[in-house]
Amino acid sequence: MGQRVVVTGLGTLTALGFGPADHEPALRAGRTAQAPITRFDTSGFRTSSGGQCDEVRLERELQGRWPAAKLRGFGVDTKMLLWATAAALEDARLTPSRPLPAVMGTTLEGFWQAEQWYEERVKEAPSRARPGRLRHSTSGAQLSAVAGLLGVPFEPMVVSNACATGVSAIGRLFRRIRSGACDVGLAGGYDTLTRFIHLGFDSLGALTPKSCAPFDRNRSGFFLGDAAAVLVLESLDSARRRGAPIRGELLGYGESADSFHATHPEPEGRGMARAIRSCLESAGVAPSEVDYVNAHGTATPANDAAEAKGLLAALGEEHGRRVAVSSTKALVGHTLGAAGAVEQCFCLLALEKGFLPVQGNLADPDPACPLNLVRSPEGAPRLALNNASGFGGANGVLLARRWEER
Amino acid sequence: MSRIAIEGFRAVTSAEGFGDLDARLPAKNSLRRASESGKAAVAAAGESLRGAGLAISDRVGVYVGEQQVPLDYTAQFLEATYRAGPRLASPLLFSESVANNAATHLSLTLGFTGALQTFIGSRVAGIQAVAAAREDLEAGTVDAGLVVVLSFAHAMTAQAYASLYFPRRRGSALPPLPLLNGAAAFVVRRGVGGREILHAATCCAGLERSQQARAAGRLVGESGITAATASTFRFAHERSLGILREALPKIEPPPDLGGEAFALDPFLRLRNGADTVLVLGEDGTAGLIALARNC
Repeated sequence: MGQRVVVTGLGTLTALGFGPADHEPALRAGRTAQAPITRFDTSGFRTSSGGQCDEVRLERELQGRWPAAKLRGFGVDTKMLLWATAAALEDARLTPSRPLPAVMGTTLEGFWQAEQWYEERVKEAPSRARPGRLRHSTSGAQLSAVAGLLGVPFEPMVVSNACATGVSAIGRLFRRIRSGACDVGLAGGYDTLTRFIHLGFDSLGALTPKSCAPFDRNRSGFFLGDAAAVLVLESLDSARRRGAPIRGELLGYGESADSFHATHPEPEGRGMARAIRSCLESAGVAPSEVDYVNAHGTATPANDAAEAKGLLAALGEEHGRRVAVSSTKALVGHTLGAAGAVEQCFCLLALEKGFLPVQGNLADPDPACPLNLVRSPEGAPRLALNNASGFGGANGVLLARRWEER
Repeated sequence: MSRIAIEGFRAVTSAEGFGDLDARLPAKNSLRRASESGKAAVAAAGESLRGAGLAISDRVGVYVGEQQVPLDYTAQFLEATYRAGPRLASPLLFSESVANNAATHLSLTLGFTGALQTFIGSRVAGIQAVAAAREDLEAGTVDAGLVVVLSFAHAMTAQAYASLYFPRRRGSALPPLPLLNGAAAFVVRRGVGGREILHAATCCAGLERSQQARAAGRLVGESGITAATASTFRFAHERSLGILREALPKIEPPPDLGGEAFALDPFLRLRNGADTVLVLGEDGTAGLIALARNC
């Protein structure tokens, strides 16, 4: 089985707020951050709501630590990544003395900056486009900038597996630590709501003009959101040596590919089920032991129905119908490359604080999704499964356990 | 523990000419509406799998490395929405513009159902893909990996980099950046054949050049390497070589490949006979890949 892997630090930033103090009450109440988009002009769009982070507060928090000149040229994406990374390191009380493995996930990198550069070229003139916008438009440059500001050299790896990205990034570092290849590292994901990505998902009919209601009979899609979530993963031995706080334990990771369609999930959820089984197998845990599932739950008709079938297939008809399930995308939106990492942070928060994240916007549960959707936060889960899937049929699953000294 | 090696190296690049890419696909015209990068990835992968004699199963992982997303479709998508309005956003162009588009086509066309991973964002993305495949083989989660490294830069990319490097120049005063597009594919697995992977790792030291050189030096030192070919960005050759020489005195200047190939560059140098390539990214990342001599 190798080394035990624990989580010793979390940095979570979404449209709901900054860190556990902002997120826990919203998760308990099923409160959504969906609101009209202000970052770009949505005139003529079919849908116009999203989950933007509080950029004013973000700026203020960063300027409390670094002079404004050092942050000049950063887009909101790089700033979110910086905040989440700094918060995770601080939470873990970690001041690395050597380069830190950093497995990060993103689908857009700093594309919001590149998009504005391109818009200036097209709508004004090539000479009007400001090249400085491109400085942090790639994830390599973003990670270098964050590493430089934190004074912590990174050994970077940037994963981009569509909406399974965040889970894939954490899973990769989990396996690396479990195998003994390293003791401690950063993993997570980040992405920003941009005009390009909003129009892209809108063109596919995946965005809702109403509220995001996963597993509801009248669901009609999701809204997109900003987020960055970074976790410090560490071997248990290393965490004990340092006397680090332990937020939870990672037990397993599984992955698979549907090989079915570029943008649609396989309707029977077979690929998802294989990834869940692989995760449980790697954890040495029986399906019946899982207490809570943070579902991918995009609130599209196709995803939720396929995911419900996949969960029942992997966890068994009986336990699959009984286990507590919710999709927190109803609250923070679909945060793409960050989603799996954000949802992992939510799972760890629920395990540590002893509650169940409530399914937001659930009015009329879809009988085609016969799941035990969370209506009340009462509960003290011990094992939480985090399910993610994305374009190209990429599936990723993580299993975490409430930290108990043993 | 047996050695981990690469086999069945195949590359299709604009330097040699793509020819009829559709005819090189496992099923002709199976990717009629796909971007050129998706087609090149599948063509190179199919030829590599045949060359290595590897059968596909859910124990074979796919690892794609590319610096940029498919920008041709991205630019078309954006331009249409600016010029004709947001309602004309094309779902086809959008789904072809996502970063894991090549991995998607590999899975759909060739039938991969196991690990499917894409690495992006810097010149060392291909080395990250090799490192990930090696990591999964060592962990026993896959029996073999197919690595595909891509570079399909757009004319807009060339202008963007030129603008970034020469911010005071405008329009025709910007130096040209010739592009070399293409895909390389190879199989990574345990066994006696192929070229053993001695080292595949990346590092990143923030923005300070001296830090970057020290990080590259650490990689070199750990590997016991004494000589390497450089892989650097065209606009920064001289400056990058200076930095690399701090890490490795016996660094060979990069021979001209005919164009900027970004993440594909180190793999074309390996194909052209280099054993070790030290990569210095323009964004502060660095990486090293070293293969044993052909056996």
